[in-house]
Amino acid sequence: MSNLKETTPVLTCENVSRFYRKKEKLVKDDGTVTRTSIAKAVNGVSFDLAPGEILGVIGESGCGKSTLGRLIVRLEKTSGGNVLLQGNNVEDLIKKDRLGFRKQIQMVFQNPFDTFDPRYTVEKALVGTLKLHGIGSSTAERRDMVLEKLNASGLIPAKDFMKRFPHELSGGQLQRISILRSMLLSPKVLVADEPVSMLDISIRADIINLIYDTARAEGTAAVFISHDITTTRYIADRIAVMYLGRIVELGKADDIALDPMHPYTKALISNCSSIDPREKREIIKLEGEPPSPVNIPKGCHFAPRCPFVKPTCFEEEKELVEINGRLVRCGSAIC
Amino acid sequence: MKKNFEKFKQALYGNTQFKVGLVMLAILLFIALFAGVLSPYDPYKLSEDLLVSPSSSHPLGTDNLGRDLLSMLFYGAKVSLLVGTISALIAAVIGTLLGGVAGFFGGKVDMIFGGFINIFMMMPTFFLILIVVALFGSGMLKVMIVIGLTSWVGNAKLMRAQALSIKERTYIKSAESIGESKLKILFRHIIPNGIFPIIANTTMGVASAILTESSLAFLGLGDPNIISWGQIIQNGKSYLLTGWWICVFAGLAIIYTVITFYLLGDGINRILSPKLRSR
Repeated sequence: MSNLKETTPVLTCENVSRFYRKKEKLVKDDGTVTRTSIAKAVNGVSFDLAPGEILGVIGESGCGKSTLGRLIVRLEKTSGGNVLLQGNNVEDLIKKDRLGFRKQIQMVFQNPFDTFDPRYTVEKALVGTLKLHGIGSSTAERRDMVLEKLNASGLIPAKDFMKRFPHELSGGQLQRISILRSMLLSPKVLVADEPVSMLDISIRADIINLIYDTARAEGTAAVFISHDITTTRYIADRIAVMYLGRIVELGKADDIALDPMHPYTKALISNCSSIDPREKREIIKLEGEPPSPVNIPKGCHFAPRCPFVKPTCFEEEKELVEINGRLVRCGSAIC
Repeated sequence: MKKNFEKFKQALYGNTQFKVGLVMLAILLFIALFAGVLSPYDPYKLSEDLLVSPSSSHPLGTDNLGRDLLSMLFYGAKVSLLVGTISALIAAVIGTLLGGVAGFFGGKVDMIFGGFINIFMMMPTFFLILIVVALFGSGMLKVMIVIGLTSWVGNAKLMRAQALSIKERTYIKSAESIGESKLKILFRHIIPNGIFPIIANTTMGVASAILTESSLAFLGLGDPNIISWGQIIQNGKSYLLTGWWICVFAGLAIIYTVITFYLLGDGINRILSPKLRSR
C-alpha cells in the first residue's frame, strides 16, 4: 500500500454505508405500532483504489459485497458516506454529466445470461453502446471497432457472433462480451461483481485472465468482488475481507492469503482447498450461520461465531488499525 | 431466431383456440371487407317487404322498414371490427404507458399513477361512457375514443406488474450502468420485453369493445347514421314476437365476433406464456 500512496487514488470510498429500512406493522392489544427495522448491508466502508490497481473484495453471501459494488457504480444511492471518483463526489458527477460519469465506471455482472436484452443481437448491444457515448463517427466505423475487439478476445468468427442473440451464446462467451462492452468505453474503474461464479470451472481462468489483461493493458483500476479466495488472490493486488457490511481486514493479497490476522479471515483461508495435499492445514470450523444484517447486536459483529472470542468482544467493536502495512479490525488473533 | 420461430410455429399448431379463432377472424374480415359485393341488397334501402321472415329472397328476413337483414349484418361487421380494434388499440397504448411508467419509476410516481389506475378500476366504466356519450354526442369516432379511454385499466395493471419484475433484471441494471437514460430503458427494454400479455389482453379487449359498442347502440346512444349490430337489436326488440329473426341473427353475429376474439386472445396468451403452454 505504501508504494501506491504517492499517486492520487482513482476511487475513494469514505465511510460508505447502505441501510435498508423496512417498516413493519405490529398489531398489539393497545393498537397498531409501526416498527422500523434497519438492515445494514454496507456499514462504514472506506478504502482507496489507486489507478490500475485491482482490489479484491471477499466475504460470504450476504456480507454486502455486491451492494458495495452497486454503490460504487451508483446503481444505488449511499445512505451515508461518499464515493469519490478522482476526488469528485459521484453524486455531483452524475448530476452534471450522467453519460460522462457512466463512461468512467463500468460494471460486469454476475449473471452473464441476463446481462443483455434478450431481443438484442450482440452487434446491436455493442454498437449501440459505442453510439450512446459518441465513440466512432459512423456505424461502419463502430462496427469495425467492435469486430476488431471481438476478434482480439477470441470470439471468432466475429462476424458470426455479431448476429447472434444472447440465448444462442454460452455463459463464458456472454461474460467475455460483457467485459468487452465495458472495456469499449475505456473506463477508469471496472467493478466485477462475481463475474465467474455462474460459469463452468473450465472457463473461469479465461475470464479472469481477460479481466486481468484488459485492465492492466488499459490501466483500468478494478474492484473484483468474489467469494472465492483463490481466484481473488490470483487477480488482486490487495484484498478486502468483508463481514456483515464491514471491512474486517484489508491488505496485500499475498499477506492476507498467507498470513491472515483477523479471526474471520483465518477461518475463511483455513477452509480453502489447497493444491498441495501434503500441506498441513488446520481447518477452523465456524459455528452457526452469519447473523442477519437486521438489528445487529452491539459489540464485534463476528463475536458470536469467533473461535477466539473474549468477553470484551461483546461489549464494543474494535476499530480498523494498521499493523504491518495492513488494516485489521481485531487484534485478538495476534496477541 | 430460427429456433425460436420453429418453437412458435409448433406452439401455434398445437393451439386449437388460436387456429379456430384465426379461421373465424378470416371469415369475419372477408365479410367486412367485401360487404358491398356480398350483400344481396343495399342495407340502407327501404322496401315494401316489411318484416318478411327468412326466405329465399331474403335469407335472414327483413326488418320493420323492409331492409334486408343479411346485408345489414354484413355492413355492421365493418363497424364492429373498426370500433373494436381502434378502441382496443387506444386502450393498449394508454395502459402500456401508464402501467410502464408506474411500475418502472416506482416510489412516488407509482403512488400517483398506481393510485390513478386503482381509482379508474373502481369506476363503473359503462355508466361513465353513457354520461360522456350523452353529453358530447355519439359519432362513431367519439364512441371509439370513449371506449378506448375507459378500458385501459387491465392493460395498465398488467404492464405495471411486468415493469416491476423486468426492472430488477440484470439487463436493465446493465443498461443503466452503461449509461442509457431512464426513458430509453423504459421504451427500449422494459416495454418491448413486457408487451406480450398486453397483446393477448388487447385481443380480448377487442371483444369487449364490440360488446360495449353494441350495448351503447342498443340503448340508442350509438351513431345513428351507421348500421351497427347493437342498433339492429334495438330496432328489433319491439318486434320480438312478430319478427324474432331480427334480434336473434344480430345477437348471433355479436356472439360470433366476441367468441372469435376471445379464442384469439386466449390462444395468444397460451402461445406466449410458457406456463400455460404445457397444459
